[in-house]
Amino acid sequence: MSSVVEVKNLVTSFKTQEGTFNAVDNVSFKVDAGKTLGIVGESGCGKSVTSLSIMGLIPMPPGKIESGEILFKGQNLLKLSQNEMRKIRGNKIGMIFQEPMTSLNPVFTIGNQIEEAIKLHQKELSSKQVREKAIDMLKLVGIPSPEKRIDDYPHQLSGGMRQRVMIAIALSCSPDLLIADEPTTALDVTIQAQILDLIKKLQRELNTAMILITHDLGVVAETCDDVAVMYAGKIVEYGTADQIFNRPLHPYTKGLLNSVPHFETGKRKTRLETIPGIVPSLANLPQGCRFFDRCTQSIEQCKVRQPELEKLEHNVACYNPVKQK
Amino acid sequence: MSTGTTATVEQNQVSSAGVSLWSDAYRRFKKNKLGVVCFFIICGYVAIALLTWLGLLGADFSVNGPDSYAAPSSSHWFGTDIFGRDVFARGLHGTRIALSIGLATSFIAIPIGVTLGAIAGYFGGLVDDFIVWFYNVVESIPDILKIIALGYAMGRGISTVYISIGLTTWVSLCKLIRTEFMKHKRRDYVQSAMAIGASHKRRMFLHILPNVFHIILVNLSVRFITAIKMEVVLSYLGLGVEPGQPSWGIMIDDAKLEMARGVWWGLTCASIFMFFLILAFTLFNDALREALDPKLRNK
Ligand SMILES: Nc1ncnc2c1ncn2[C@@H]1O[C@H](COP(=O)(O)OP(=O)(O)OP(=O)(O)O)[C@@H](O)[C@H]1O
Ligand SMILES: [Mg+2]
Repeated sequence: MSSVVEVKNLVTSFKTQEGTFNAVDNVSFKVDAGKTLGIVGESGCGKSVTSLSIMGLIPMPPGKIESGEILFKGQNLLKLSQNEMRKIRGNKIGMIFQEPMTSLNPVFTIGNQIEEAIKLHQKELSSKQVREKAIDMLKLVGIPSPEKRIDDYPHQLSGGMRQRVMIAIALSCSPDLLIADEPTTALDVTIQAQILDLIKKLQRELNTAMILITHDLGVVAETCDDVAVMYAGKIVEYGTADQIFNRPLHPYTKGLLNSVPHFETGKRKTRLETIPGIVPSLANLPQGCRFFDRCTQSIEQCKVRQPELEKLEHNVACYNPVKQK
Repeated sequence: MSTGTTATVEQNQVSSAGVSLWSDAYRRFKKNKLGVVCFFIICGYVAIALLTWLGLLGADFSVNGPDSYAAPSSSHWFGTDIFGRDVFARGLHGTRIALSIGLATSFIAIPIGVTLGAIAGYFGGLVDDFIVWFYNVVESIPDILKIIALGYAMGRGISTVYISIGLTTWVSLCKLIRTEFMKHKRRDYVQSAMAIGASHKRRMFLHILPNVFHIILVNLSVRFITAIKMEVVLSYLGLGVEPGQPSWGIMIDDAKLEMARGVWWGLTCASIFMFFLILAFTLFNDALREALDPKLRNK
């Protein structure tokens, strides 16, 4: 089976006052239909830039896609014109953003906004059909009495409801790929679980490929088939969820896992471990491994040369990977 | 906005359906009594303008009477002018001219200001540099000089007033719209509009513009004040409407000669008409601004 999306050696840079830096540096991954790839990593490591690169929404300038390929069903998105890309966005690729409170236009009803997404790509539908479809979508994402709610303005809805609307918009054209950039970060915990279940359920029903970006490793463990761990613009470890969670190879991944509370082990830890140190500035990266300063098991070689992603048990960019017990 | 509390009431949240930001603003505007009164005063002026235009009111404004410079009396509330024409009737007709200038100049200036401001703010970069340079050049010449220059070039007449004021007073709106667009283009809702495949034009005029519409509305109301004052100045300088026309500017200009003979009613009549219209617009404008202020929304 061929992948829905395959990113190959993507490099996206930003030009700022401190100089030009690669926010995403030589990133490769692929996602198959019906599968979910989780991208995790600390704030600023380039997760959103990766997803915006796929959507073709990197602001240029200051941004620029330096090199690489983004193959969407075999077609290189980076070669498409603005117009062709617009026909794919919202139609073949849907996106859910982090901030449901501000991602809807305050002056239009939610119905207007779902209808717009449908009308932009399904021009053959009559306005009555469009409205019916919008109501169906609201029903699908679990909004009670959608016939009434459709004429509400965003400020009349709670955060969870708005995120449901955003999901309805993203899925209104049954995309082949859904990108969810921290879809639940802004919501509270109980609602988070509901929203994730909903996304997961719809994704399974529609057999959509999904890229899920999150800080929450618990979420990744529950929902993702594959996981890419990013650090300072690079993927440092890439494998199945099972491999990453049960047999992490990169010290950074191990650190991330240790900084999450384990409930299933029974014995409660008194203190969570943290990874000491800070992420190096992207504008001023070390010559060797970017994780060097914070790494507990660095060796001589790490300082000199940057490790590339290599296939051991699964892909990892490390000269001295964690030994499995 | 607190996400913490709203989410817990998610399922059972009740709300009155269809409360748009506009109806909210309307509700707040209604609470401002002075604003409402001013709104009705403006409506009164509009009614006068329409009625005089249809010839149903002050129809005798250009009929020469037997007595020149008659003092105010019960038949001529504000006396008569040099040709024995009823001053009050001319004052009424002045309303028509004043409002038509406000309206016509808005039709010219608002599209220019909004389009240039939107393009500059939205696209930024070189386009922005060029537009900023352009309005800085336009602005560096005082309005009155540009209007006079255009006035001389086109000759005297009401259409000159429309065009010259219209072509020169778009800069302040353009600046406001530009900054608003710079602010809004980075908002999340614009990014999500991009994500559903909306074009630049669609994002600018369908998504952002409705969000900054209140600025245009407030500006429209300010424009009337400027335009009315400007007409008076232009007419006084001999560049405004033709002398025979019953505009307030012409009436005030005529008063130069009249005052020497102790004829005060022409000036008084025009001033009173102008005073109340400008006062009403100013107060209405404040109320409007308050009602539409996004910071006060949902209060
Ligand atoms: N428009 C931009 N101009 C300049 N730099 C940018 C821009 N957008 C992103 N960056 C830089 O790119 C880097 C990666 O940012 P990105 O938003 O992808 O992080 P992230 O992994 O999504 O973080 P978070 O978890 O906080 O969302 C950051 O250092 C950021 O400063
Ligand atoms: Mg992000």
